[in-house]
Amino acid sequence: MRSPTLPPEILTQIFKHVDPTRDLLSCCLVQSMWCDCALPLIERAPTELLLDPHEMPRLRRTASLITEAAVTAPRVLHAIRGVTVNLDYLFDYLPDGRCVLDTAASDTLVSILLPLSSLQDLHLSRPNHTHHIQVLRPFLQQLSSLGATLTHTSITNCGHPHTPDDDPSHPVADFLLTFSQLTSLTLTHLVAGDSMARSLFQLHKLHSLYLYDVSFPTPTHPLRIPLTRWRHLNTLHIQHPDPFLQTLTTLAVACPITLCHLYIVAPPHSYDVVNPAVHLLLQRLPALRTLALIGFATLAHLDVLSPLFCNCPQLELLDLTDCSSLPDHSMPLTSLWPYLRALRISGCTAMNGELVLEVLSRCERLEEVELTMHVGCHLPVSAALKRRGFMFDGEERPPMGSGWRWKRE
Amino acid sequence: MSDPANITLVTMDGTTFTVPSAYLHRSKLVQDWLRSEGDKQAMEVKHVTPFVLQGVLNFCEIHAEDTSEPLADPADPTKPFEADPRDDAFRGMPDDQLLQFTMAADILQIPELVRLTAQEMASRIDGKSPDQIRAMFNPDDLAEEDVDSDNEMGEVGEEGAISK
Repeated sequence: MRSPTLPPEILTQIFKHVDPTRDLLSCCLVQSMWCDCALPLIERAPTELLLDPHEMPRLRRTASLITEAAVTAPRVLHAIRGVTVNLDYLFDYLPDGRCVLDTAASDTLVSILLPLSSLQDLHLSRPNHTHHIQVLRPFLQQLSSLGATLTHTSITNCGHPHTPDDDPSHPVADFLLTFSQLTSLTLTHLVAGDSMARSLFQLHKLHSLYLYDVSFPTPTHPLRIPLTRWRHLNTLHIQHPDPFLQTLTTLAVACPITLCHLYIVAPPHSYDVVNPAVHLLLQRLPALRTLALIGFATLAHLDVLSPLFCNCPQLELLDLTDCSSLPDHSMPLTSLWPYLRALRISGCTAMNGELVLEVLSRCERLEEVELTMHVGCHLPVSAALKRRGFMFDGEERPPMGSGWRWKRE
Repeated sequence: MSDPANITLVTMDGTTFTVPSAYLHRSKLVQDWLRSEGDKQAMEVKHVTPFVLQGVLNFCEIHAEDTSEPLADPADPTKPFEADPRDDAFRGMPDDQLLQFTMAADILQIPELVRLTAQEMASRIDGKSPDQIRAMFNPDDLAEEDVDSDNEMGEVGEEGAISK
């Protein structure tokens, strides 16, 4: 029985429902027109190609497709720009309890990854971080040639949760050394030792750096010197820095003055006195457009933020969520931010509304305000917000502890 | 002047179907036709066979009273697909018939049916090698037929398949 010829628009509709991690690659190899329709979907969803060595038959099938594509349709390999690899299944336990690399899974993964000559995004994920990271060294060494093209990468759980893996050096740190073009790096759940610090130091093209739950317990604090070398660094996210105060102090002396977006989420239950470090840090950052200091419970004087009022004319977003000790009376305002679009001060329980009123009166472009409840209830504040055309965004009375968001129509 | 409460559709071989216009409220093609040429006697659906049009109209009748918002995009990721037992007829359908329904849904611009048939086709591709997919769709042969069939536009293909 003959089937009707499928026009490209129908093929595209079908391909949008096809599992991009497995079957889209097969579709690419069916026929030239199929490849034309499937390739844009592969390019648009670059990080969807999840390679899970736990499912070896599927992985072998992907490897075989990649091999076939290398011969019959090399453009498919160029279209795959991003891959997510779950490293957890590369570990194998021997009967004597030793943990070794599953070489079959490792070889299959390498045979898939190495032909991807245009790979830009590589995401290595290790949800279970009880395995010994050194076991991965041969696998990562085989992938070193990928580093020449990678621009974005994220590495999750690739370090021991309690002690740095520096014996003899961190295999992920060595892997990072090959990433000469890297512009964006995300590290999550890592205790970074000296080798990791040295690797970060080499990534001089970094544009964005995201460090989530990364601690630097060794004397060679990686942020001490490298930040000055990262002269292209535009965005820095640090969540739960450890040690908190030392990281802030380091940033205060070494942050590149061109930094535009700075997000720092304080570790929970941290009572380090951070006022001088924050003050110094803000003095160094005249180009800031986004500043988020979240959960700085000991930030107790508005004077600390005075550099912001004087030195940061381009500020667009100020987020001081959960800075619970920060008051807003006697504000040292000399000038304010003409480009400010959003102010977030929910959880700032020591404020009484002066900052909001001042910002409302001076910042013409303000579009979004998030307030703690008692400030939101403050009559002059709510009246001023309504006068400026702001409306509640969300529930009329949000639950206790959450922010009251107002948006301008 | 046609009855505004009903619409008559004429298939490629001249077979006519008259159904309440409300059945086809999700068809953008029909709605556009009603707005621009609704005063004509019948709407021609040249590339659809009677069998397929009957199936499409059955789908439209079953879903005529659905209150869900019309889909703007059949592959809208924010509106996850949920299998509806009323559409089970499409699941047991042979591949070539399902393809014809996919094309008819696209011609009549019924996003809900496009999504249903595309989703079903995608599930049949699931886990298949390129060779298995080729055997299923036979696209190489069909590519040759494309050239030939340009001169046969509108003719009924073998066993009721559509030659485009």
